[in-house]
Amino acid sequence: MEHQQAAAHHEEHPPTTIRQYILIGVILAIITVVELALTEAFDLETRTLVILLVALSSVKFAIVVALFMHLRFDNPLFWRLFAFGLVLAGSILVALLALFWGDHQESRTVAAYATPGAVAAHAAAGDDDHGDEGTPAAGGEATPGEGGAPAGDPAAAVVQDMPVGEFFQANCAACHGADRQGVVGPALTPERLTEPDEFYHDTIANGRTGTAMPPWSPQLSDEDINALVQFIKHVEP
Amino acid sequence: MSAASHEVQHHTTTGVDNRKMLMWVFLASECLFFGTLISTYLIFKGQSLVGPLPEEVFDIVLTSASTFILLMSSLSMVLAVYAVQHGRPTMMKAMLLLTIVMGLIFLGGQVYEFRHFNHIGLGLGQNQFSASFYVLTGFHGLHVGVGVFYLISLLIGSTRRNGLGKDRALWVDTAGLYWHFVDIVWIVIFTLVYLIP
Amino acid sequence: MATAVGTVGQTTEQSKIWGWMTTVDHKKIAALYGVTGFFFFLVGGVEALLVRTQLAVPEGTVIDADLYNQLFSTHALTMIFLAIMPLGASFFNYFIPLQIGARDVAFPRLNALGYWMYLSGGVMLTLSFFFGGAPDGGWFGYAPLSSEAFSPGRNMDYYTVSLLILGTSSLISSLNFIVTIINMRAPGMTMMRLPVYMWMTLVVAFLLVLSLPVITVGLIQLYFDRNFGTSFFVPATGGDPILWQHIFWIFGHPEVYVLILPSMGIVSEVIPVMSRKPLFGYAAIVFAGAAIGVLGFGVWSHHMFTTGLGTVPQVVFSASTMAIGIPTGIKIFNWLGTMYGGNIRFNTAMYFAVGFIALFTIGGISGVMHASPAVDTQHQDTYFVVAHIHYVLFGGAIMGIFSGIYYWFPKITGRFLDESLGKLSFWIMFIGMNATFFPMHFLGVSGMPRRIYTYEAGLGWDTWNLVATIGSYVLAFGVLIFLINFFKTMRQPQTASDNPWGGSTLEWATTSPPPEHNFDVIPEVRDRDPLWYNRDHGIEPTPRPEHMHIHMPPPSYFPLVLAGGVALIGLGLLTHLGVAVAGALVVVYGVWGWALEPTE
Repeated sequence: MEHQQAAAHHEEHPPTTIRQYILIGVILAIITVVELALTEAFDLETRTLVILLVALSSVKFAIVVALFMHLRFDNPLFWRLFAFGLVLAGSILVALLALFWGDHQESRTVAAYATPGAVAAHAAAGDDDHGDEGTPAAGGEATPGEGGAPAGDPAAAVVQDMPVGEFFQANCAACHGADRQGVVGPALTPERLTEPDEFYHDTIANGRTGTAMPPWSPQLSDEDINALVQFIKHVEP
Repeated sequence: MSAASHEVQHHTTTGVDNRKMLMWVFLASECLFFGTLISTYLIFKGQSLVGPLPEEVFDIVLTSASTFILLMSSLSMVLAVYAVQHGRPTMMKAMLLLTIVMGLIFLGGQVYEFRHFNHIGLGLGQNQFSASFYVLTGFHGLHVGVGVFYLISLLIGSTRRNGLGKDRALWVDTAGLYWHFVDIVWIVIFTLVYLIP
Repeated sequence: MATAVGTVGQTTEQSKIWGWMTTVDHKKIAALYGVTGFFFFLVGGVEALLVRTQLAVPEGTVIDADLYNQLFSTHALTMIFLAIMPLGASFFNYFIPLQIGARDVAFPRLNALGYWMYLSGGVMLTLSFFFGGAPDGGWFGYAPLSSEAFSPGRNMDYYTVSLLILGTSSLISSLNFIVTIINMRAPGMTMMRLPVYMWMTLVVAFLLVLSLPVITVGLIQLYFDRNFGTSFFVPATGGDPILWQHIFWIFGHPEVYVLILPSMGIVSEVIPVMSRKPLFGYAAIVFAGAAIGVLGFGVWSHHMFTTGLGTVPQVVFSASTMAIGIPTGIKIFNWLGTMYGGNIRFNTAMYFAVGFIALFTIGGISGVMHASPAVDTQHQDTYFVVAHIHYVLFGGAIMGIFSGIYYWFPKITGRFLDESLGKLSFWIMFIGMNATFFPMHFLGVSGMPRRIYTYEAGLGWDTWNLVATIGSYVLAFGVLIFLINFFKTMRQPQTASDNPWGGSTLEWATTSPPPEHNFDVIPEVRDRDPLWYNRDHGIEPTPRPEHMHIHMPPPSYFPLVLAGGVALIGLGLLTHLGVAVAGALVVVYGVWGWALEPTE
């Protein structure tokens, strides 16, 4: 009992002085400036930058926790209790990121299609369209095939021996809505679809992991898929 | 000086006060709360179907200033705790006031940022970035707000006739733990949300 | 009930009701939790009977699909959050201070707040039937069914808001219990001398404190999706329904350990006392309980084996799930080892404890079966899982709770529940429970899906469904007999002595029921089984001193105020945000009043 009270007395005031606290504050500020400089002023490779930033922030975190929150000087029970929460939270974070990582490697978003590399990669799929928004009559294909639109009219395209609109109703409307306003899947109307054609071509061809969108290639040829892309992007429902 | 706060301590098995232990366990649970919000943000990073995207809206310089202020508020908070533990009530009140003011400035910065983003097209439901960003930083801001309320209550309490009573060091210390925690969460948010590309 | 000499802060003119509404006495709060929890157990039971009645025959017409969805969802929500957890909380509240040798919990007003918030959340969840529709998306609320597009009514908003309130209530109580158990033990009571029930309580409190924040975030996100236009879980606009599943089960799995560990703790108390033998392998049981707690955070995706996780995650989670069977098995062997060679007194409490071991083991076996992803692909969403769940939760958790009721009834009320009625009730419940849930294994294996409001004739499911329904009525009858026993017993005079069973833990070192201040003199603990040690070494209890100045915390109405404010916030989130703001102001007033009110 006496020992416990002595321990309590000791934790009353940790040994840090005002000057030391201010010094710690200055150090924290300096580290923040360094982080800012690394992000804005230098042109670092992303992975290096991430590692450095995480390391610096961890140092700040540790300083505040150990010295401002006094974990260094207090009863060890406190850092153990806190560690429980912190370690668990960190582990769950890592586990969730790992679980979602695989999904996201395959899904496509705006950012992926902004780079020329992505465009070039899909040129091999036979798609000549470089995804200019609002280009009318972009349905004119360089390689006439079984499907594809007659030049200039995306609504008149033929997909798998039926008009593209009918094909859509028969195969896409269940998830995307008969009026293309979206049900389980997103709305597919010209106003909403503002990304490059490759993005939609790729989604239709390969599906989207983590959602119910299946891949339609190779049942649908590239020309078929192009026709569908032009249809949803340029024909009002 | 510390003999005063020494008298009142009810005997406990570990020797530490129940209230301080409560705060630490609570902070452990808060790690899970913010951990989940941060996980959501990171999972949706790069998954927005439409813009605006982070790099189009963030003003890193402004946010750095905000971050700096919150960091400095941790300094003033620890000095407030130092003051009460060394029996210097005037310094304690000044440091508490300084912390409150800096906390309010930080909150003001958040409010400005949210309104500005909203104005340039990043509404709450606009895309995955907006949803996860606003909910994460919004709830962090709410915690800062609760902290400000907590500190204002302590400050007002300290000006009353009996002040904060014999347990004053404990009350300020515990409030300080909460305040520092809110600061370290921001350290993580600042890095993962604003700085990392 | 005896009042201590020199107790400060009790006025004798308080009306009885106001006394209960402002109580901060852990024993009274325990009674509130117990009565309310048992009431909701009956409500949940009625919801189940309605479900079973609808499923008794194919193409049943008792209940339509919409109401059916509400009933099976609320059955689970009620049983988990309004019955089992509060009944657990009732025992925690009553016995933590007594078993550790303290006079109350660390934060008595916070304790009261936990109860009143639970009550408001429970009322909200139950009344939802009459005000817009009860939650109907299952207790797990999967997206995108839970989204605004597919659940346009109020139902899933009641889900998010009431669970937020209930979760916060549990969190608050758990924080209180952790501090109490670590920091308020009697002199000489080291952690390894804590009763096993206390260890289980501590692990449960940590599980809740660490898992509830995760579901809180999920519920907030769902609320935002439904009300503020975000799409965390709505795939159409970029969200991911699988994220909801992860968030839910990161909470949901530790939650099921929260449901079973208290009953394991109770059984670890009852078996040694009724076997008149110390618990076999105390350290192993304690470490196994802690291991279950820790591992419990590492198995959640076993609820998601059929969502396309990928090979590596499936292997990892399958391994961790199988691993968690090991500490569980250790406990079972230790209970059996305790009974072996003991001079066993087979009273009703012991019947329920042994019943627990048998039935929980069956549930555990079906559980390990679906730890294999390949096998789980067959089991998922079939009645096989329903069988597993109910063997572990009814056969396990509920049987354990009943064991605790019969064991501790004399301590709490000073009276003994009738043994003949008790044993009758046990057998009827045992038979009813097996008749209801064992056939569900067959139903599941022959393909009957979960959560369907009816089924066609001739699929091979007719007979077993009928058997299960009859079983459920038998089970209900068994519970009815218990109720009769309870009311009959409460009419009797209080005749129980301090330690009628010859127990070893500190709650038996005071009167039955205990005085408000629990112990006249805080006992000194020299052993893990303090009363047996004292008896064997001839140590007499310290006599009551001449003058006792025991200060017990005064009653307070601020927990009520705060809970009322929170309820208003909840109501506002369901109706008008202005109401929520008013609620927030009430909360602020409550916090200030609480902080300023004297506790000396």
